[in-house]
Amino acid sequence: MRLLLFSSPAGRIFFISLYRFSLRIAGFILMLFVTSLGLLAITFLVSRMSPVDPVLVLVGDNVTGEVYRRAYYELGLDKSLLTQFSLYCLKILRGDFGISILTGHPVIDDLRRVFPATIELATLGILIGVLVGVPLGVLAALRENSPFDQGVRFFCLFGYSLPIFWLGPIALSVFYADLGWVSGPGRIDVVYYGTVPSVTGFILFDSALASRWDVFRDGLRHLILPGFFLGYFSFAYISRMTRFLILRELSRGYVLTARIRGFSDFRIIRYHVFRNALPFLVPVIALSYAHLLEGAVITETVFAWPGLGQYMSHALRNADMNAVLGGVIVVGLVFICLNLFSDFLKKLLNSHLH
Amino acid sequence: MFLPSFFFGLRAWFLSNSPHSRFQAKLGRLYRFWRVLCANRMAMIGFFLVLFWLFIAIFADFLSPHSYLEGESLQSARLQPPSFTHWFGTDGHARDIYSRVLHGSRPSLFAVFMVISIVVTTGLLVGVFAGYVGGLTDLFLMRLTDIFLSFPRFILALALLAGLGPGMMSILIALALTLWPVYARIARSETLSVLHMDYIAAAHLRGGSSAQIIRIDLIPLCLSPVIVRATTDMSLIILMVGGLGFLGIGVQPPSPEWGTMIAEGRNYPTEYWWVTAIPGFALFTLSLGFNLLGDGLCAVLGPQERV
Repeated sequence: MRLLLFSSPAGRIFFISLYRFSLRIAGFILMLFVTSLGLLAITFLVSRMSPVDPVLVLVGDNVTGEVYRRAYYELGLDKSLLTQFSLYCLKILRGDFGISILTGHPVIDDLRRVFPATIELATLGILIGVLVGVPLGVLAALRENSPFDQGVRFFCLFGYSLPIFWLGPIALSVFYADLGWVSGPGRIDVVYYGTVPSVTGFILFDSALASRWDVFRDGLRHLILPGFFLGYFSFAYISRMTRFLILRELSRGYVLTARIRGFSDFRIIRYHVFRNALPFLVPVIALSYAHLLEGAVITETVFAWPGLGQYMSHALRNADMNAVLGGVIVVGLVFICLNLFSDFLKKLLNSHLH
Repeated sequence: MFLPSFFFGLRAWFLSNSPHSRFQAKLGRLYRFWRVLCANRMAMIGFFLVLFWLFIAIFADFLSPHSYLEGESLQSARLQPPSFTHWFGTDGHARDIYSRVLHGSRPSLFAVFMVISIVVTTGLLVGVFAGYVGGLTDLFLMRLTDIFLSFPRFILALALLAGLGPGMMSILIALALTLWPVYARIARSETLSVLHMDYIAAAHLRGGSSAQIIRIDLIPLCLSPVIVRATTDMSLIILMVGGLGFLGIGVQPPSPEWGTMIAEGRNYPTEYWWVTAIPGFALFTLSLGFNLLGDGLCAVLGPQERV
């Protein structure tokens, strides 16, 4: 058996492909490392470029030259830029983003508090995007150039062009103020504050764990409008890509073969075309999720959703540099991971195909 | 009598199968392309939307009936609903919203023009060079584009705006840094697809230098996918400028900018809907125009995957 694994042609091909795969993985990790380092370099330079003197932030305005100089040395500002940068990276690795001026807490604690809200929102958005986008994309591909296809395409272009900071407030005033179908800005109503213990940080999970279904329903009513908007954006991208992928599969030879063999259309689509296109959808969804996390900054500001985005835009308006850069690093790292992962997967699938 | 025959003559001249000059052949190609685009209704709507806003941006000074910076009496003219004197009403500083919306098209289109010209030039040069030279240079340049491509655009703009202070410059830098690799990738793949064709070999035999071949034989061939992509990116740039303005860190008041105007309008109750709704609608029409046009161009110039 072992002999066969090493000496047979199939065994050799197996090892060669294993070798190639590990090379790819190594390349992926290297890219991840370099890109993250680039992000840190940018945030480091930005924090150095800012017109605020870091020493004065620490010691205050009216100090003697002696105190100023000591703080200057203790901050390591006399060392070379490269040394300062490596010290900065080590600090970030330890999770030390400094203290937020606005809240007075360490930035990392603030981020840990607000991040689940953003994840909750983005996850609902991607769920809507996938559940609506994939079926519509498949249908549009099957009825290529029909009025239905044109309709879906226009609906997508509409989504690509929509400024959420324009339609969001309008939707709030219609569905919340006039019709009362959904709840207003924020995550839950004020009366429910502190009624469920925070276990996971996700309101829906926490209220379900505590069996407080009234809180659950209230959370859902708050979530639905911003979630719908984020879902619309990811829907636009996902359905377009699904249509493209299905059309590409339909043009392959095996579809014709299956038709000749007399398989039903449904069977061909469901068991052959869709199954072959499915892996290619994974990088699309990963990329879409990354963009949702980034796009949440504006959505959260519009709907006063107490997540990372609102935290960052609030900090920006109050010149709270540590908080802004902390948020930039966290969102940036997640974005970079998802983006590179998506790229890696896409290349892997394409090379597998050839 | 003269006019139709002139145009029919021109049409025949355009569509001539044996053009007498290079110029005629080029115009003929453009004319055929235009005819195909005309058949696509959505693309034409997009084209005219973009043209409309370009016209307004250029002639905003002549078209606006009031000053876009100075308001009228704060006691009597604040937050007036749309009327015959103020077509789109007035804002909280008693300024005419119609004039401000017209002038608000300028920063958006300026950003589009600047970013696209920088990004397309850089991307084309890097991509075609990488594809043409190949080898380790290619590998290095492509890894570099991968790195820049995986940066988050909006978040990067936020970081730069936090460091450099609010304003157009940071937005332009953030957009340029993250958009050029897209064009480099497109240009490289186009270059690789034609690099081993006979006409390139002929150009070599003719004694053309590398710079000549890149400029004359390679870059023009990469243009059509680049144009398609650039048109859709224009809508992205418009939305980003507006979004950063909405967050209060883009173009600073009192300069008119659509996103900033929407953010100002949020301070008033929803009864004063025109303060936010009208600049937002303007932003939407311009970005929809670019998207429709891009989609139509994509259909004409050859379909491809949207990154």
